Amino acid sequence: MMIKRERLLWVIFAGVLVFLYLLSSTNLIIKEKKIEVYPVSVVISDSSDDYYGNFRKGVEQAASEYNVDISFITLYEKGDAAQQMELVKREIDDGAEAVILEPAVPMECAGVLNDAVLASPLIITGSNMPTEKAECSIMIDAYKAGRKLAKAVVADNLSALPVCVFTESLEYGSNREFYDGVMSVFEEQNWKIRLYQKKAGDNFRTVIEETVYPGNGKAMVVALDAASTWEAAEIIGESPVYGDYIMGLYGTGTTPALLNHLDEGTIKGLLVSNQFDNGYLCVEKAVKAIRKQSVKEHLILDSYLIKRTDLRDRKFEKMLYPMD
Amino acid sequence: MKKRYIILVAAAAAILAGAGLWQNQAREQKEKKQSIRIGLALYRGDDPFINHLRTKIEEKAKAYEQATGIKVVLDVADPKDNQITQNSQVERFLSLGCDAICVNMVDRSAASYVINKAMDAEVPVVFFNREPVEEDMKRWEHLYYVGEDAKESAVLQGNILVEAYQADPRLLDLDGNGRVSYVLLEGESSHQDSLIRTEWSVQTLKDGNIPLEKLTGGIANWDRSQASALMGQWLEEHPGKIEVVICNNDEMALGAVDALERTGDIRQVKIVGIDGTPQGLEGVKKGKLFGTVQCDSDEYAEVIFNIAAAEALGQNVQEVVGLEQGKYYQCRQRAITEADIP
Amino acid sequence: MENRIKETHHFKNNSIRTTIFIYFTVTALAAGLLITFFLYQRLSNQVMEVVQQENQSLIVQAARSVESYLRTVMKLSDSLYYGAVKNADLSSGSIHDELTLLYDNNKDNVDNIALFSEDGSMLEAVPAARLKTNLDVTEETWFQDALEKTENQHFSYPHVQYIFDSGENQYRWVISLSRAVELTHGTSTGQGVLLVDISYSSLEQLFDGVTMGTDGYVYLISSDGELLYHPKMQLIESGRFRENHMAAAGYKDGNHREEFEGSRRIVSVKSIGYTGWKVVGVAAENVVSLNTIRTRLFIVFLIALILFVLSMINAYISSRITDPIKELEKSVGILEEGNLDAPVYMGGSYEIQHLGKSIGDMAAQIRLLMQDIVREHEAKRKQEFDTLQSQINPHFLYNTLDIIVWMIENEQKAEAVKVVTALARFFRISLSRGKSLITVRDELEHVRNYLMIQHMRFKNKFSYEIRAQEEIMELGSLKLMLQPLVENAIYHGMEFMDGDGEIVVEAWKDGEDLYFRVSDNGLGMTKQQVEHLFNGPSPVASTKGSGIGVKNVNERIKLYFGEKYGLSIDSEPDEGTRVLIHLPAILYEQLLKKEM
Repeated sequence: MMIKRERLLWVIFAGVLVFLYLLSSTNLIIKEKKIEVYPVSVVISDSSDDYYGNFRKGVEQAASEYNVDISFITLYEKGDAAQQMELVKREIDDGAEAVILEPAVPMECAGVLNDAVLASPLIITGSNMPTEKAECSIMIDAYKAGRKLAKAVVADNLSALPVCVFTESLEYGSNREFYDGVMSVFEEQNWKIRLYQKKAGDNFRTVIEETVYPGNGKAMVVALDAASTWEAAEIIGESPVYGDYIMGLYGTGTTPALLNHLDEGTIKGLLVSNQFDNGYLCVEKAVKAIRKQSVKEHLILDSYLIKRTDLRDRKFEKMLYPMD
Repeated sequence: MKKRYIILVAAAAAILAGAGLWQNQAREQKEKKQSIRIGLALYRGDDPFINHLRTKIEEKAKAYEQATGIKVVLDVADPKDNQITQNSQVERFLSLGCDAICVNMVDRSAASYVINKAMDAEVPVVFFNREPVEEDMKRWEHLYYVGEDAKESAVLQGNILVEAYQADPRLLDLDGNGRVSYVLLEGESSHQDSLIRTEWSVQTLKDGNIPLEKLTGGIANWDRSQASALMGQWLEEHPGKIEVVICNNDEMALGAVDALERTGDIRQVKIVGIDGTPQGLEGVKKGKLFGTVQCDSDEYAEVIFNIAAAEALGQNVQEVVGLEQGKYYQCRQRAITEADIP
Repeated sequence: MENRIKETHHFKNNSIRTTIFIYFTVTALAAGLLITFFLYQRLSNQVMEVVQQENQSLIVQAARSVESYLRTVMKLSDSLYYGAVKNADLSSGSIHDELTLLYDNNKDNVDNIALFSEDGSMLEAVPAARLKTNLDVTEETWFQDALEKTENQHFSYPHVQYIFDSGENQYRWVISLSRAVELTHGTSTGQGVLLVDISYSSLEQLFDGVTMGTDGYVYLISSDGELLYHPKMQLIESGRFRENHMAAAGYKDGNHREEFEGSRRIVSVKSIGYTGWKVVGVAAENVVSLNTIRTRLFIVFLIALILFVLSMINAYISSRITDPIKELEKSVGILEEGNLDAPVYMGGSYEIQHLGKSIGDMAAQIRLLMQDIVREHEAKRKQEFDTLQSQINPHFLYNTLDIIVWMIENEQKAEAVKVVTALARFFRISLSRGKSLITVRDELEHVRNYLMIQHMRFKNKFSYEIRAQEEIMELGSLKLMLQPLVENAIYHGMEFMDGDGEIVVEAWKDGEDLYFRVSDNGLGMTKQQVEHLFNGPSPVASTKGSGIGVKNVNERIKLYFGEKYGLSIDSEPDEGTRVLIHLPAILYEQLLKKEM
């Protein structure tokens, strides 16, 4: 026989028991950490991922570690900034919880972004964009890199030679800052520069051929982006004659093809950075942003000027040839 | 009173749950129509032919996206010639929710693993370029194979040489000794195509009544540098004797070209390949390769993609692409010589 | 008032129940906690041990597979050397076919096989491959190592395969296995190096899928701590991830606890033969699932459940014990209220039943005793009443007043005064202000006065004497004891005694007892008459004296002093009668106190 108060206590006790049981043995209140898969989209500025080998490897390594479902989006046409922004919007609409963006044309992209409202966090890589919208940015210091490259050119050569600067367009990516860096050193040293932009209609082949015939004389070639570097290397590598007139080809990029050219001697110096890390960090920061643990960061990666002998250096081997 | 209250609460909960589920379903349905996900499993990413095909498929996907407005997510996996890795890559595709997968088997005899997994997940598979055996293909009606008829390519390849010989025997018989001395560069030993291509190339030549002398042959595993090395050796071993180089694919043909250039051999050795990769066509254009057999890679990629997309959207594949026995598609091929390239 | 009593009752009862309950529950809780604690410790330790053992065996397995892998490759090198190279005369024929055969059989693990002469020129390569131009093989580490220690096979660190022209878009990571070989060229022999490039990815595959629980992993280091394989090798290189591999190189085989970067881990190490490489497995110490919040909550739940069940049992048991007590208490309550007839609860355990029965018996006894008391009181009252009645016997008064009148008429003033005085005194003591107990002095005085009066009346019929000790005068006595006896003696004994009658009243103390005796030499009584006196109907309506009979006296004595005191008669017909009164010898004051 119990009085009302006792009965109440028993009921409360039973209630606590049920609650504890639910807490500890079922998934209703405390959920076992379900392995969450984060959909993240990577939008690059090129129409193919040829020059993104190492970057992609880093992305995929991070993706498998953090359970990320990566959609690697390439543009239909290189340098189409409007389309790139559309793709970004489309990806976010389709459920991407974060977007890693390599702006095709930074100024244009910034313009669009600053007006837009983004539902998912944005990670910027590749080139600097004046925008507050990004959670985080990871890139090399293009200006410094440009200076490094130019200094190497100057160091390798005793006398000043006219320099042909090849690029697809100064507006793409970080090309402008790179160019500024290069220019600053050459101007200090009083070297002559001539700029050739593919987008502006210049033809690299013609320029190189013209050093031989009609004989514009010896020149150096400095390429500001990987595609231009590769094109130049291919052209110069075709015939040994070019090698007599092009005293050196310097460029940037880390595809195996470019490294091969460096090994063969067609390219004298390459400006490289750890693209594997770049890709890895982008995904890592994206995951942090999704989990709302992020801190607005601006990470600067190191860049290195490597020569042929550096290819076998343990320090660079893993960076240039990532394992997967 | 209490009972009634409890019933009310239970009913409310049930309704909420039902609504949520229904909404989820509806959303899922809607999502499916807006985008499709296709997994592309290669056998080796650095095989130029396969790589070229991949690029074409990616282009097709983009074009499709622009034309229909349906988003296409294309996942590509490169197992670096390792079947075990490819198996786990296929599993990953299936777990990521691919609507269809296109598989280029590393080991064509090991297709049953992939087929099992795909059947369990009810995801259609489009095999291409490396053909599983018929028994495996028969297991499910949502298995397809797109390829090039190896025999046809070999015959076409052989005919390039036969026609040249018939036009002018001296084209092939460089030293004029009445025999055409050739070497053979073969692909992987286990690949169905290398066997068939080798066999039929030579047979076609024989059928064309060309007097043949085989100097030597070797397996270069479809690889340019291996072919280059082998050819280099043979040039040393048989100086001045090699007149024709029959290669199972363009890469090996280019390797032979490399070797000739290295040794500075300026004789008009006739090198023929198969595939019609951009590099191969370049070689033909420059006159380094005598000819190649191109399977229309646009068509190839398009068929693969279309079958996959149709399956992904649940459309009737037979209406989209004409298939033999409901499964097989052989791409058209044609011989390419210098004259054929603008 | 009643309510408060009820509550207090309730509270007190509850506190027994609550006390039992609390003691039981505390015991249960303590037991539960102790058991759970020890079980938990034990289980936790055991699980840890099991996990560690499993990890260790995983590592051993991984080590074994690496060992067998290395052995396979080394055997390949052996086959290549002893089978193909050693006895072949390289000047006369190529060993390419033999090498190709061996290569084909090991294609999964091997990328390249190459044979070099001492000066670095390549003699054979399978699959067909070309050395890079401008490359001097003699400067390669694997080449130099091989020639340095010619009796051993040398494994290099993983590196990108560099010496062969391998095509533009590829690079492969390999581990180079090199050894010095003897080459035969015609009649001369020389040294050379046999190189087997093991594909790194096939080594990687050995570790694929070897996991040590969640967050655990396995890696491979060389004897001096250089990383050969690590799942996060790429990240360690660029500094994004840190690993304690240099320390691990110093560990002996077995399990070690270490703390690195803030987390505690268990590190299992197993060495691999020939190369001195070590397989290292790392598992977080807290992986043991007993430590998750949910498990802890589950333990709490378990304890709470045990507590709950035991409490319910306790409550039931303590109810079973205390309910009968409650019932009994209720019965007692009813009894206390005066309802002695109420049935007493008899139930519950043996002790409670016994208690109940005893209480019931006691209640019954109380009932009886109370009835006795009531009866006694009744009897007393009756006696009192009788006594009261007799105190004012009219007949004696009339007769005596008659005598007084006759005496006054006969001018016997002095006698009349004496009789009036005696009468007054007699009645005064008879009344004694309503008290039943008087001093012996007064009782004797009373009977003296009576005797005097009667003597006046029955002149010369009898003589009397009163003999009493001085010391007994202050003792207590019942009043109206002697007078009725004397009355009897006069009226039954003296009737036929013409002047020879004698009545003697004695009173003496013997130890604790007080005796009175009234003796006469009268008619005496037969036994039956004596009986009749004691047991006859009372009151014997006596017209001649006080009216109180012997029976009355006897009963009164017994009532006041107890059963053992009273009257006894000793009589012989024609001889006389002696009536003895036995009282206790108690001082009058003390008797009074007792009465109160």
